[in-house]
Amino acid sequence: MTVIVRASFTSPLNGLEMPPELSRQLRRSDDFIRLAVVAAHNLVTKLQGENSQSPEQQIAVDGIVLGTSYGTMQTNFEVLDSVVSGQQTSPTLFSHSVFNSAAGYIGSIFAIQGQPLTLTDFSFPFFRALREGSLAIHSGRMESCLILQVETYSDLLQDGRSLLGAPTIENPFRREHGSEPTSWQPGVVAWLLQRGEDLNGNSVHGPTLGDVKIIDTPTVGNMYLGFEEKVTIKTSVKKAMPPEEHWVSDPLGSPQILNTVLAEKSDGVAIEIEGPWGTVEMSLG
Amino acid sequence: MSKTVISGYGCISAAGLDALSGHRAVENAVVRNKIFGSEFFPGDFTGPFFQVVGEDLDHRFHIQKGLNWPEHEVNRTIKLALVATLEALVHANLSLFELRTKRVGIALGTTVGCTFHNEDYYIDWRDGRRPDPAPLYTYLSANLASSIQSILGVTGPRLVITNACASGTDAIGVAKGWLEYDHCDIAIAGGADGLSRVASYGFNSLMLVSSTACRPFDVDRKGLNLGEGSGILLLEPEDNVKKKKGPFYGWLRGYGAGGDGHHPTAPHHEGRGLQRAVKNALVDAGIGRKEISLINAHGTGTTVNDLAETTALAHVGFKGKELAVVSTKGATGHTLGAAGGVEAVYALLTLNKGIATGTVGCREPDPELRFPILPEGERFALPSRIGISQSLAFGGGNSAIVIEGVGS
Repeated sequence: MTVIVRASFTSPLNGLEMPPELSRQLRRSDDFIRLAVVAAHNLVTKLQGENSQSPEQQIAVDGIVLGTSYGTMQTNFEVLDSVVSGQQTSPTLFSHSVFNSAAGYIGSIFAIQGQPLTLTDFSFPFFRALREGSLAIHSGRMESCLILQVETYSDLLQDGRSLLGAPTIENPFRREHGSEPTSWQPGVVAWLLQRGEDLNGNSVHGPTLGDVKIIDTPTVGNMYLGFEEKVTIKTSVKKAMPPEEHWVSDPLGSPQILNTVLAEKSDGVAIEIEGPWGTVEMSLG
Repeated sequence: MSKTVISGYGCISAAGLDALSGHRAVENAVVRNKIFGSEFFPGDFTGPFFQVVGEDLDHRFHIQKGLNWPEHEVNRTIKLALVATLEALVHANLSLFELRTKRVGIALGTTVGCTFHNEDYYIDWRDGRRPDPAPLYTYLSANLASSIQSILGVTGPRLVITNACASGTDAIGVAKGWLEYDHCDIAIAGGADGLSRVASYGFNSLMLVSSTACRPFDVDRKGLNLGEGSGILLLEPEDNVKKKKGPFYGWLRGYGAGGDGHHPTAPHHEGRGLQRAVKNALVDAGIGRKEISLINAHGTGTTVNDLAETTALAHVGFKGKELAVVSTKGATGHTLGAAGGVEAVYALLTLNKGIATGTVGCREPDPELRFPILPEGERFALPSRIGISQSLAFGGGNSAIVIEGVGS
């Protein structure tokens, strides 16, 4: 059985286009939820459009796997502010500060009754989500699922990065030692994974997702502040071509590169992502 | 595909500092909680908390040889998870040295353990002062699964699941999948959470907290009490355990999950997602509902949860006289991300004993509930060794695992 990438979406928070039909449901939500729901809307709408053209490939989204490094950090601090002030907490704020609130919104707005799974790790959250979503489809627990990484960071974290500077421990992946950390941009990357065969056993169009292999390397936490990963893309067909290398300096960078790969590459590609905290190896196509 | 065996278990909660003593306390309806006020709540509100007391957790780590103890501060959630993990290794008769020769999967659920709650840092930052950076570095080093992986000195897949109250159950289910698809040789799965002022303020704001000891499924229930703890299962393929002639305590037969798809915070009134989760778990286990003799319910003691949960059980088609439905939260409090792990351990021990004891705190089951509950003081001889432990999460996620005990 294969797993394919049926559709993809990415957007920074700054410039996120809110579909009018979602404004009422999201009127009280925070940025984290907004990013997740708009991304889900984009992919679900694409799928519904394709379903109407190819009824034999009709499939509903029946799972959500959302990965994040920092979660609903900003909202969490708004709750913390009420705690340190000894004041009543807003129930809405607290509800939104729980990491899986976004998956809950996606499930209720799009009537997704399959499993919602939210996970967190400072390293490779998108790829951990991809691995779990792929495994869920292979095992039959899901027919298709949304894979997302959402990051909104927080003012405290951004200030902490500037205040505390680049890590003093030498990072072999840093190109410019001692340089000022760049400001991380909040945003979302989302994919729609689907079983590679339809109800009639015919292949469904889309790049095939190979195994996602993650090898973790023990690292000290402050390495995450001066974030840097190297993404290497090797085209399977044109083996003589040198691999492409990209350097990314924020937690959404690697999945954003992969979105570009999905859009541009029609041949199979092997992808390797390296950081001080480990490596990811995967293939597409 | 080899069955998944439970080769070890560990649990620490307010009920007991290890799995067996905690289970005994649940059986004897021992309630160890402490009333807190302004430490955990705004204004004049006071309420019971189920805190782990009577143990210097650090002492356990000092006497355990071979741990890679970090130089930075280790938070309470990690310590609780480590205590339960080390107990599970003892039950499995597995040394750290032997563990390190395997591919070890670590799947843990938490809600408090993934957040930055250091109040001193926040206040300094908010008021324009330069904070002491140590708490920020500690936070960045405190991913629960990563920390346990590093302290134990093992390698393999890892995941921290933040599915609110279903996190621990989901972690166990995810680990089962890893073993079935040969991503690892052994898995440490469950959940952990320490007490948190943010969580207590939050649940209080939602008017879900009781000012008295919680009474799951009781006609006079007034809400939940928060607790802390950790519950861990050690999971392995049965073939591996048989080969090494190691001990085992049961099987993880099935896992299922489902979303309510109803509302961002409130559960579906018929527990639609839980129905799906339980049915999926039974299919995964390859058994019918008649083989289930015990359900360790989520049973928080809130009006809405307890009603939705029992309604779901009625819709699934369970028959009240054929099984016992209990909640253990009357003895542990609601341990949030740890709950699925804690309750899986207690369910396993109950199944192996063959007798379910009634729900601590439930003296008169609410007649409005759609399914009968075993109340405190009553016992039920289990007709089989197979049961379910289930969880309903904030946000509409639901999950269930099917456990089979080996007997006493």
